[in-house]
Amino acid sequence: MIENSRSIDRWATAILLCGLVFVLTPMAFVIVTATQSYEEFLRRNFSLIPGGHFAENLREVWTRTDLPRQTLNSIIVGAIAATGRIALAVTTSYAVVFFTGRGRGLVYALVVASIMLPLELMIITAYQVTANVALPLNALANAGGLWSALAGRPLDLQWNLLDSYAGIAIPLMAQGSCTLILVQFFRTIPPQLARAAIIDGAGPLRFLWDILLPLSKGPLTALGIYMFISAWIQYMWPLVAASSPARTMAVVGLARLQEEGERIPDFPLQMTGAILVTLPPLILIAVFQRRIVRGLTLSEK
Amino acid sequence: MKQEIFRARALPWWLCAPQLLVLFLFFYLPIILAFFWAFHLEQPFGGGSQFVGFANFRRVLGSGEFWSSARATLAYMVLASGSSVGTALVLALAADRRLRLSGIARNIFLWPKAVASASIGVIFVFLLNPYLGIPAPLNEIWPGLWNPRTNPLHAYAMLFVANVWSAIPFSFIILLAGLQAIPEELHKAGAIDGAGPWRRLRDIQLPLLTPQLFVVVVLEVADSLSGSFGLIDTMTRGGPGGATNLLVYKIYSDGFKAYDLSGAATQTVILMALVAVVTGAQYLFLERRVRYDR
Amino acid sequence: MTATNAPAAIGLHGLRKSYGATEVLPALEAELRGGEFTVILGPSGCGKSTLLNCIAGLERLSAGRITIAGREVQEAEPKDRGIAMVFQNYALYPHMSVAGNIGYALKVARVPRAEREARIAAAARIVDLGDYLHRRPSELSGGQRQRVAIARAVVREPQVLLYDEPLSNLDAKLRQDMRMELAGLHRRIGATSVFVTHDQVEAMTLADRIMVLNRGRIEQFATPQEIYHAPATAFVAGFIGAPAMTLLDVAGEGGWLRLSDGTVLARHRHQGAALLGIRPEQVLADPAGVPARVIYREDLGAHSVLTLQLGDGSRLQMAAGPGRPVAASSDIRIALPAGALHLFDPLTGRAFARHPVPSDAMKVQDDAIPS
Ligand SMILES: Nc1ncnc2c1ncn2[C@@H]1O[C@H](COP(=O)(O)OP(=O)(O)OP(=O)(O)O)[C@@H](O)[C@H]1O
Ligand SMILES: [Mg+2]
Repeated sequence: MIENSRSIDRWATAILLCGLVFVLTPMAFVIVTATQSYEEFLRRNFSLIPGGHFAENLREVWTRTDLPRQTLNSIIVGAIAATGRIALAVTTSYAVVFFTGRGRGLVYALVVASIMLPLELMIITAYQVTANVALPLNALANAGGLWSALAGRPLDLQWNLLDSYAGIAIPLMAQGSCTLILVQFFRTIPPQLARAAIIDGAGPLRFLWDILLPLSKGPLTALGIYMFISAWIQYMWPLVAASSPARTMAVVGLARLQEEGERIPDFPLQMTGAILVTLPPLILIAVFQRRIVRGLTLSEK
Repeated sequence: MKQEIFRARALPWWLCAPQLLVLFLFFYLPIILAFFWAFHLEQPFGGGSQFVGFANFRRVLGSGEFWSSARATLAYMVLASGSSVGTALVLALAADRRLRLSGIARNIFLWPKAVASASIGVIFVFLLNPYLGIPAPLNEIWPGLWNPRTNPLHAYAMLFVANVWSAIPFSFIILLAGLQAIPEELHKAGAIDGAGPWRRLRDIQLPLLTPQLFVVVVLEVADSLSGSFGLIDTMTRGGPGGATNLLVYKIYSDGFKAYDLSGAATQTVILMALVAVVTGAQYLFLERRVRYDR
Repeated sequence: MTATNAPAAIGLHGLRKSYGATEVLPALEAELRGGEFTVILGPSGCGKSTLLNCIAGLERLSAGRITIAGREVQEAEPKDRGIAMVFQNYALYPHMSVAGNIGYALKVARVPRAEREARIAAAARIVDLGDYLHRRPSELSGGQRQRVAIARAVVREPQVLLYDEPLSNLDAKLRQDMRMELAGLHRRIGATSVFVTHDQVEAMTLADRIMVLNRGRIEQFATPQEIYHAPATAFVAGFIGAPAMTLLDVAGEGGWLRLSDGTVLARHRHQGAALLGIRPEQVLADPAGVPARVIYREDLGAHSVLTLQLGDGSRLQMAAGPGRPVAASSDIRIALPAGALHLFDPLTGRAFARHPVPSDAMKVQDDAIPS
């Protein structure tokens, strides 16, 4: 760049190196530890010398823990949540950007406001709603004793979503960041495109399907990958929403490996589990880095 | 900004409906319920609720445990978001220069995004274990130098390091994109006007980066709180001696372990207000600087 | 406001610049006279901006020296070179007002507030922006923005003003106005100006001297008149003029220049292969001349431009007056007056020294014979 850039570049390089060391060191230790057997680990304490027991540890994680099953659960929930969030975001952003009429601003504000308060803050009541999704219907029908007057007793519908894939995934969709990004992307699309489509005789839904979606393929896949990862790394919600082992997600399962009650925990096993749980999203990130960045920032660089 | 192409009346509402329904059920309704329970008491055995006015608030605000938790939460929110955004900003500034290293760095700095907060907790609990982890050799020389299980300060240090580690990717992406959107010519013009690198950072880069900084800080406040649960649950479990029992974790224990629905809901309301206040303050602080068009 | 400093000459000595393996500027030598308006002209990507950035100190030289007013500056910071610069896309600071933009350099240099404001006001007056001092750049038109950029450069009272295609973002009319203003500005403040463009009209109208660059090499560095009437290389000949000079492969033998099929084109003493250049407006119609076929005609109102095909298939452009319309695909005869011929070495592209013109070549008929 400019002027005495060499010394600045040296500083920048040093900073980047520090950052890389900071990010990679934990990962390196995880990998090394995962290659040691429990006995080896106890004998040597903490060491950077890799052992040769990774396959063994992996087999143990595979057979002795529930992680394989839980990884499958993570894939399912991640796929549902990502697809759902994209679908909801596409329809909403389309309505907000391409249609006239009142209420667009309000809808947009309602959606965007949800970014500031994450699900974790209202976990108790979100749990309550998920335990009975019919709650608002009941409340509405029983307001002022209306339903009792008609049917003789208060309306008491029950629809429990807890411990189901839908119950874990759908609350994760109640967050507007995806819509925020898509609205901004749709706003960069020239309106002439829609006008041309109207002149060609396409209706709004046709335009959405035939033109807008193909045009947004890049950002949509990037967002989809990012949302899949975001769902994958959830911890608190899956912890409370899934009580049976059959619905537990991988990250929760990994944390439970801590609770085995031995005097010195089997850290090599835990670290092997951590690798298993982290590798799928990590590969996605490493491979799709450029796409993801472009999708999140809408920049062409 | 306004495009407004199609003029259908009902269709846009149908298009928004699914999103609004999901948001209503799992975002707005929980908030409403939190307010509801904050003013009601659950009847033991057999449901039902009883309006109790501000009794729940009096009870919560009267407990010393709540106040220490609230103070810790506020401090954590500010410090955790500040430290992670600061780190990401420094890294983004370095990666913005076209260095040989920046290509790989841009990829690797996103990797922590793949690691869930709970996984980070599991990993860092091991790495920073006083007897088995990285500090073990030092602890042998100076016993008690590092022990997050007994020293609250160490416990917080552990949380902060883990939080910074996990928060790098998102802030880094957004801030780097913001830096790269600043035209090269502005740097050149600044250099010709006699501003050195530091002066340009202060007078040109940071002012032009305020929109991104604002987004990142707001989201980091929310993220530091939501991520704190996974970290605390796997690293400190609120300890030592309740020192890291942040509100998010306390609400969880009160609600799910102690079955105190009303108390948990009351604290939820307070926590949400806290987040709103912090976000609002940042908005007021940064908003004045954000008003310009490219 | 006038420049307080005496006009500074700029010397480029063995200036080289490469990015990795690609050499953009190979060993440039030139002397830009103090107080002159020098235009650097060349096709896109030839290294004009790179050269300007090197002078400004925004790029580090790979080798060589730069002197400004006799002082070696290649190691100096941009702010210490006595230069100011105007960029193609204005490069205004979007978060500062017009006054803030103009005064930023003064603020950095810790000029006291009162003096700063006086100088900002003076600079704004020069470019007619007095009423806009408190606006943001986003609230200005393109022309006004470029004025702010110019004021920002002028306010520092630089010895050298550098312009990197400052007009290319403006529309045609505005560009013409700004050209006049820049010429006036140069006359008033008298700083040495270096102006980069790929627009030859700008070059011809503004320059005291034009430096024609091609792939980082100086093809010719001379006054606009010389560049036009005596291009030093085939490249300059083909680059300047609208439409540009036609270049034909010819061979000279026994006092005649012939095309490859043997057609005699003109009288000339040159022996051997050459590139023959002739300006379209100097091609004449001549009933006793060389046969040519009109294959395309562009009517520009005041005159028309004919594209002609000669016997060996090569093409030649000719500007014809408004009077006689010539239909496309008609056959005509033309003459190439010896005084208008430029001969270049086909290998190096350099102009051959001009030969004295044989007298009978001056025999020229004015009547065209359109068929
Ligand atoms: N940072 C760089 N790295 C590598 N090559 C570069 C760099 N900057 C410029 N170049 C190359 O140097 C050559 C000259 O670039 P320069 O910008 O000086 O051209 P220019 O004459 O100003 O063109 P234009 O009229 O399009 O502005 C180009 O071929 C360009 O590709
Ligand atoms: Mg250029």
